[in-house]
Amino acid sequence: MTTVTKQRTRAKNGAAPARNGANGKVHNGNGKPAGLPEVPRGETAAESPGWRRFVGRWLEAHHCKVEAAPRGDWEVELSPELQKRWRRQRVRLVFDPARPTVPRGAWFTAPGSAGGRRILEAALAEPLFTRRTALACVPGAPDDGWTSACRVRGLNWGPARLGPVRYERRVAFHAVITRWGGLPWQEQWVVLVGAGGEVLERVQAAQVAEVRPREGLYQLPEELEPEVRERWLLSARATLEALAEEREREWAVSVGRLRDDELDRLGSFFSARIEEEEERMRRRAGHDEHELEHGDATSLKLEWERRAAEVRQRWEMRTEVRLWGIEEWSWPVADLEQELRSGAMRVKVKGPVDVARGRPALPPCPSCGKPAEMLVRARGTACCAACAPA
Amino acid sequence: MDVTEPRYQVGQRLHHPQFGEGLVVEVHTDRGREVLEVVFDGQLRRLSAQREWEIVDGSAPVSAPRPAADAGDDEFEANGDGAQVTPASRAGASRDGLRHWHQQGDALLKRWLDNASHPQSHFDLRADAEAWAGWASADRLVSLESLRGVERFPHQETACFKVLRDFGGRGILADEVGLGKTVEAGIVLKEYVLRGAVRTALVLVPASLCEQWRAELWEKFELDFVVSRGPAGQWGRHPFVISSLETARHERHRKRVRGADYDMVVCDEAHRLRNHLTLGWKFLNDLNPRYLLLLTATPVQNDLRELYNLVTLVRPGTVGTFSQFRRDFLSGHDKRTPRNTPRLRRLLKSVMIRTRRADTTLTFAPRKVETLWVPQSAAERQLYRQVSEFVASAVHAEHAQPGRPHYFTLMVLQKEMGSSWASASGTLEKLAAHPEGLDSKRVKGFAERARTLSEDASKLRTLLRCIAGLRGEKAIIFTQFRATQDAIVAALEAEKVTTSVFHGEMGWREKEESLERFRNHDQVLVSTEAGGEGRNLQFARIVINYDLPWNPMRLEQRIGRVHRLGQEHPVRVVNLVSRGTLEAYVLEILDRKIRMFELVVGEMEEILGAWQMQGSFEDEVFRRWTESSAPRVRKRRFTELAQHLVTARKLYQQQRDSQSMLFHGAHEPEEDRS
Repeated sequence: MTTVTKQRTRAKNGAAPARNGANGKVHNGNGKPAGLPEVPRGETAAESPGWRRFVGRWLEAHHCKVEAAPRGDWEVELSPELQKRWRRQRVRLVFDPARPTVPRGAWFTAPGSAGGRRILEAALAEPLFTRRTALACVPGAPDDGWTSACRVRGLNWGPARLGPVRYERRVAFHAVITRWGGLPWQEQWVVLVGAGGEVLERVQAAQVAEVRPREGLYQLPEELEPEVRERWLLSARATLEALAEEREREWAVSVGRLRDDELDRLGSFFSARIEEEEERMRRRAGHDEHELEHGDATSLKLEWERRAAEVRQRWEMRTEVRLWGIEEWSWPVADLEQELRSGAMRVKVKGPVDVARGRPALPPCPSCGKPAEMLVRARGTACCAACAPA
Repeated sequence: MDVTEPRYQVGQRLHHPQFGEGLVVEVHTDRGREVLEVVFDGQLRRLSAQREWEIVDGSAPVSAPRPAADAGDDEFEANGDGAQVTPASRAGASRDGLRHWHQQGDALLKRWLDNASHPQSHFDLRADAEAWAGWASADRLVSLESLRGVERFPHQETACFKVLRDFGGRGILADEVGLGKTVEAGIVLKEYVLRGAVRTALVLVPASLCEQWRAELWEKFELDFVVSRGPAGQWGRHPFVISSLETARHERHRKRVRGADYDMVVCDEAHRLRNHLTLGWKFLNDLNPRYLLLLTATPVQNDLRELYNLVTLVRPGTVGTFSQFRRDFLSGHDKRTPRNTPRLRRLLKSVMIRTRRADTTLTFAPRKVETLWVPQSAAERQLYRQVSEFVASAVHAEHAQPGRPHYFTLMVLQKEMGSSWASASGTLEKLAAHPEGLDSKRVKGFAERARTLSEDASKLRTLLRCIAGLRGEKAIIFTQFRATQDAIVAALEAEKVTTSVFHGEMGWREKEESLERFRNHDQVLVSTEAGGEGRNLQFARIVINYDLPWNPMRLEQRIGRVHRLGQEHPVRVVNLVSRGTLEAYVLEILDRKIRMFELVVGEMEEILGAWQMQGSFEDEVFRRWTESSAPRVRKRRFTELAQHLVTARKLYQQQRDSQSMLFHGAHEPEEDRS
């Protein structure tokens, strides 16, 4: 749990999440699988933590040769693919933001610098699809079953029994939603769709959280029927559409408020100025309205429209949804069976457990079948608060 | 509902089948018929109000011409004045969103359908890349991580957040001098660029600062600006352009600048726009870019109308029309003192940021200035006097007016004499080789004598004594001339003082190595002006001015290398000057009269700006020197010059105090140090 919390905090602060390696193997201090060659380090205090490590891993993944250079720089021999992209064979990467100057031809490499953006643009060019398995937690569920997850009144939880672990297919869709209008805004979302096409999770993050992944699909056939894929896709798209719409509604309120406020102020200003101008001209023209010189008032009216158009343009809201990744997961699940007891009364409750996270879902109400946060004794059986008679 | 209520109101938007969408700017009665005046695409048209025109949703009518104060009295909510949101505006806002699916999604789905999977390590890297590339929200400035060689301070980040979130990218940055307005503007600009909101930008600065801004925006922010020069200019050709306001607003360029449709305009020294009748103000008002930043430390000088003009340029209506402003905030005939100050202050806060040094936690180490008088030998004194007379007579001869080649050579010669005989002899030899109207025999004689004197210069001896007195402490010796630098280095090395050298002719690597050597090993760094800009050398605390530049800004830059935020020890400045020289007069003015060394960074520039002299300060000094040969006359001429500066300093202090009162309420007059 500690790792997960740290990941979230880092992602919120804009740093790349420090994943515990892709395949759950033992990692060295760099967060890199122990087998891979060492990337020169030399991180200074002023650098964004983790950025250098990310660049090193990315360059290695693209078959570049990285050598340490003086002052913490890196001398990189680019792979043929990157040579073609950037039209150069080698590049010197400077990471230290405290350096006032960089060598000729070198790239200052930080998340928003020109060099950093070149790397990020290349890293973001291709959408990716991968298959992975979520490793099961041991134990797959807490020993006391639902005792801590679901409160009971007039009842006691008996011992919990976890059924055999089985693997089911889940698909995670990764998207970035960008809003333009006012200060541009960006959010990353992961939508996890279950075997039946139902949306299981909708999280604002770059990665599926709290799981230990492993390469490949375990205990699942790799092939998936096209129509099933189609169904999942439609479900994910509909979810993202709904998500985008929801966010757009929230944004529209805040953006609209600012825009209307600005238009309102502009309107008050120009209408007052036009009035003043006309009054001035009226006085000058000796109260004869027909002789009014409309020159200045007209230019004010035109300016008002021009400025109002600019304000509307500035606050005009557009959103973009960029679906950049799909993960097909083989996800371990099991059924949890636990008895509710009260005197001689015994009620068996059976529900699913997310074994990848070692966490049971809320137990189904024995009466209505809906997930229940609390179960109570009523009329000689157990039910949720909603089913219980008043 | 009142049946007499007009159907159309000012501020609404109508849809016309032929002209499209337009803004209702007036509803009035003409010969008994109600008429609408609507602007369609820059054209004012009259429509009958009897007909049914389609009203565009979300276009709220103007309630009533409200006084400025009402608008600003509301407390700020998320960003602005917290105006009432009508249900119509909410509905309209939610409808006008435009959603777009990025094409990357199609490629991804194809890949999925083709079963073309990637290794998961690549996927993780991609997720990391997304996290690094993302902007997240308005709570984080993504640009901060990409700045190079920039010292960032909390007040700057606060100001940038305010401009981006609260001001919607249009505001006045009016921090006190030396608090980094340029950096704030750079951060805001870079933030918009990184977030894709700004594709084109125009920076308007005084002509003399174009190159400095270009270099700074490139070196610190990696924003590739070009300086627009020549009759064609760079308008529309390059996305990021720097220009002087005068060039941009020139009749020849104006149309093309407007055509370039810049997303953002930054205007430095924006106090030049305080007058709404000037071409500059009109030009910028007409340009009306999406984002506009005005940078000035003195938004008001003599008249509160100046403040009104600046605010109206950025956000019209913030303080109402001028009549409303005058009625609400001006008291009688006093143009400088406002009334209803708290209300005015509150309104100004919605458009202007003014940070005082006192508002920050920044502290500067104390500065101690010493003058080391160099005892000249009789021969040196005589040669200095004779060459100075020669320079003065040559300058006033017909063939050596400003703009002619000899004028500048003679000016340099005068400066070199204040630096070292080694550098002066070089120029004298060049003049002797190409006299072009000068007395070559006399010049040759001067050159020979200068060469002889350079072998045993009294100034070098004084410097060596000074260095010996430092007992190994690190010091930076500044000089303007390469020949002087060579002479100093030779003398120091002869005395076994470990010395690093820094000058503009060195390559990048050499410069870095030299500074590294000075940081780690050597006692002394001998640097020309090239070391004066952009380098932070706080690890040393002693600056020795072997020669004194006539331009006080250069002197400030030299000292600024060590006396900056982050310097923990008191800074010692040693000036080497000989009595009776031009430099002695300059030092007298700068040190004794206006106490330049006690000023904070940037204040000297403001004082020189307040004086509004013709030409540069250097020209002024040289003119006064050459126009008077007798010491008594010279003294009087330089006393006059000092008086101008003292007046300018007083003016600057008055402005600073009155602005402190206007913007912050607390009257904090500083002791007049002059």
